[in-house]
Amino acid sequence: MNDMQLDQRVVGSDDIKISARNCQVFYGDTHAIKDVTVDIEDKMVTAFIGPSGCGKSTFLRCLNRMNDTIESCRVEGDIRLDGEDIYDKRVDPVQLRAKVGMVFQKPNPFPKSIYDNVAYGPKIHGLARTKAELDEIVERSLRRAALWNEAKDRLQEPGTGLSGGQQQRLCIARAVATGPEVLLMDEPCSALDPIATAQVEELIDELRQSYSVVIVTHSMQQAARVSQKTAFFHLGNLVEFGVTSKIFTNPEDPRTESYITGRIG
Amino acid sequence: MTALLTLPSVLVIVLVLAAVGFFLGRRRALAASGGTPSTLHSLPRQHGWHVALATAVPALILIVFWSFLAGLVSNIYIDAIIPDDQPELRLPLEQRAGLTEREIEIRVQGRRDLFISNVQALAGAIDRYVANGNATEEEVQRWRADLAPLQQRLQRDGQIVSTAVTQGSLNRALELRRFNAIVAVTGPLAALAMAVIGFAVSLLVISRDFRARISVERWTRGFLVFASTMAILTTIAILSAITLPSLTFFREYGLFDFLTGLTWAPAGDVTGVPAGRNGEYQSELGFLPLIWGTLYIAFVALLVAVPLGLLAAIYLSEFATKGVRAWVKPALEILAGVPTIVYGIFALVTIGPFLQAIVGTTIMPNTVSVMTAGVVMGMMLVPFVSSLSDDVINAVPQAMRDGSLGLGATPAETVTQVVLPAALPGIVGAIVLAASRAIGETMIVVLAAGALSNVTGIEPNPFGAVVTVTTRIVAVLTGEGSGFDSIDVLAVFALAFTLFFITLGLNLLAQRMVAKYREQYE
Repeated sequence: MNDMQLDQRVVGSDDIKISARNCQVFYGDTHAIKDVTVDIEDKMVTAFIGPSGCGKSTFLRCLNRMNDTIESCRVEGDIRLDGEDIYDKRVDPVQLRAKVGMVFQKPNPFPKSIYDNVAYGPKIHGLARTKAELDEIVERSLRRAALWNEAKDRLQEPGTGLSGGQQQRLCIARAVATGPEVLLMDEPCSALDPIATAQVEELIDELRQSYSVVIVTHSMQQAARVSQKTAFFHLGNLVEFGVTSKIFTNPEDPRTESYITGRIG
Repeated sequence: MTALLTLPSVLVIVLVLAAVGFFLGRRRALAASGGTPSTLHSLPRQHGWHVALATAVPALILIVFWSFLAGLVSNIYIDAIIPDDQPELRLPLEQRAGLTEREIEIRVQGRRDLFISNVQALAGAIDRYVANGNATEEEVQRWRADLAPLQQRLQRDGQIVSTAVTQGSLNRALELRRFNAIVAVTGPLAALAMAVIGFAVSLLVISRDFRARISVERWTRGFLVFASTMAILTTIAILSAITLPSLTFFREYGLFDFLTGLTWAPAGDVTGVPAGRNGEYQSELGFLPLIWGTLYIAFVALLVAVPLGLLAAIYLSEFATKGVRAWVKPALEILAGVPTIVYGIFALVTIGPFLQAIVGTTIMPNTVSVMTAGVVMGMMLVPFVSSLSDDVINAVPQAMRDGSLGLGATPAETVTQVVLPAALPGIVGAIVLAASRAIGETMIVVLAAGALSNVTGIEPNPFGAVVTVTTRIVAVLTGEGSGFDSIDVLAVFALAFTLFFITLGLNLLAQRMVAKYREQYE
C-alpha cells in the first residue's frame, strides 16, 4: 500500500478519468481481485500487465460493469468515472457502457455488413437523426480506426469477410462510433499477426488524442510501446502502478522485476 | 434330425459353437506361443474372438437372409407352378358379358391372386393341422378334396379355411408344402455347414504370426457399417413398398386427376381395380382437399408453436437464471414426450368444446375443427421448436453478446439485433422441421379434425372439420373389407407416397439450412 501512495504522488494529475478504491471481485467463493486501488488518467494509455489468471481482465471488465453479465460475480469497493460511482444503484450499466467502450480479445464483428457493424451503436443510442448524419458517423469512425481506405468501397459487404486485423479495427471503429470517453481493450492484438498488431498499436496511439485508453496485454513489449502508465497485477493484487518507462527500467517491487525479466509468469 | 434343422435350433447350435470356438481359439493361440504369449502377434483373447466371429457371423447372416428369402422363394414357386389353364382361374361366361379384353384380363389376374392366397392359406392350415397331431404326413399326402368334407375337418381343428377346398387347390397346396419342407431344411443345413467350416478353418489358421487382431477389427467395422446402413435400408424398403402401388394408382386413376381433384370421396370399392368403366371410377380421389386440410392445420399449429416456442427459447437461453432454466427446460422436454394420442384426447374433450363455447355453434357446428387440431398440435410442437431454437441460439458465440452489450446495447436489443439475426437460419430450420412434423402428424388430427366427418371438398372455415392426408389413410385402411387391389387402397399408397416426399423435402431443406448456419461459427 505504501508503494501505491508513492505512485499516486508521482503521477498525480487533475485529469483523473476513472478512480478505483479498494476494489474487490469475487467469483462465487473465489477472491479474484484483492483490494485494488488505481487511478486512470484521461488522454493517456494505461496498460495492465501480469501473468495469466492474475485478474487484469476481470478488473478491466469491472470498469464498464461487463461482469454484471456473469451470474456468480460480485464486485465490492468504489469505482468512479468522473467522480461518479458507477456501481451506484441509480447508474444504468447500459448508459455506462456507451461511455466506456470495449474491444475484445478476439475480433467479434456482428454477422452484418461493415456499415451496419459501425452504425449499430449510434442507431441504438439514437446518435444520428438522419441517414446523412449516420453516414458521417460511420465514415468518421472508420477513418479514426484507420479502416476507411480499405473498407469504403465495400461498406455493404459482411464484416466477417474482412481479415483478422481489419476485423479488429472494425471492432474499434464500432466502439468509437458511440462516442465513448474511455476505451477498454482486452488483449486486442492476441489473435492478430505482427503486421496487423503494428497497425492496431499505431491506432491506439492515435486514439489517445481523444480518449482515455486502458489496454490489457500479455506482451510486455506492447505495453512498453503503447502505454504511458503501466499496472502490474499478480494473483489478484495490484503489485505496482506507475509511469511505464519507470516500471520497465526501474521497478520497485521484486515481483515486478521478476516478471519483466521473465522469471515468473 | 429334421427337428434339429429348424432356424431357432440352428441359431442356438451356432451360438454354442461360437462360444466353444472362443475358448478353443484362445487355448490354441496360447499353445502356439509355446508358453510365452508375448511372442504372439495378437492377444490370445483376440484369437478367441476371431474363431467365434468366423463361426457365428456368416451363419447368422445366412439365417437372417434365409428367413426373408424363404417366403419370397415360396411365393415365386407357387406362382410358377400354377398354369394359366388352371380351372379355378376361368372367368364364367355370364361374367364376361360386355367387358373389354383389358377388363377380362384384370379380372382373371384378380382370380389368380385370390387362388394363390387360398392355396397358401390351405397349406398353412394343413401345416397346423399336422402340428396339432390330427394326421401324419403320409395321411395328408393321400388326402383328396372330395373324399371327406376336408374343409369342415380343418375348421373343427380351429383352422381358418374361408373358401371351398377344390381338388386343384389341394393339389397345389400339397405341392407347396413339399417345396416348403425342402426350403425349410436347406437353409438351416447351409447355415450349420457354414458355421462348422468357419469354426474349423479359423481354428486351423491360428499360428504365432496370424493377425487375429486385424481380422477382429475388420469384423467390428463390418458390424458398425451394417448398423448404420440398416436405417437407410429401412427407408429404401418403405419407399419400395409404397412406390409400386402408387405408380399403379397414378396410371389407373391419372396423376393429373389425382393432383388437381377437388373432391375426396372414396366409394368404398372392394372388388378390384375396375369398379367403373373405361377408367371412370365411382370414387373421386382428388388430392387437393386433403393437402388443403393438412396444410391448414399445420399453419394454425405453427402460428401457435413458433411464437411461443421461440419466445420460450429466447427466455431460457438469454434471460432465465440457472435455477429457472434447470426447472423449465426439463419440464418442456417432458411435454415433448407426451404421446400424441393424449394430445388428441385433450383436443377432443377440452379444447374443442371450449372453442365451440366461444365462437358459437353456427360457425362451429362440431367440436372437431381445424382450430381444435391446430391449436393442440401447436402446443405439442412448442417444446420441439423451443428445444431446437434453444440449441441454435446457444450456439451463437458469447463474443457476439459481449460485443453488443459492450457497446451499451440492452439485453433486449442484443437479442433482437444481434443474436436472433445470427441464429436465424437455424431457427428457420427448426420451424421447417416443426412444419414437417405437423404435416405428418396423425393421432391429433384423427381425433380432433374430423376423421369421421363427411367433408369431401375444400373447407375454408377454420372452425369447420376438414379431411387431411393422414386421416384419410387411417380411414381407408381401417375401413371394412377393402381389398388391397381396390382403387381406394391404391390411392392411400399414393397419399403415403406423396406425404413421404413432402416431409422428405422439408427435412432436407431444414437440414441444409441448419448446416449452412453451423458453417458460420464452427
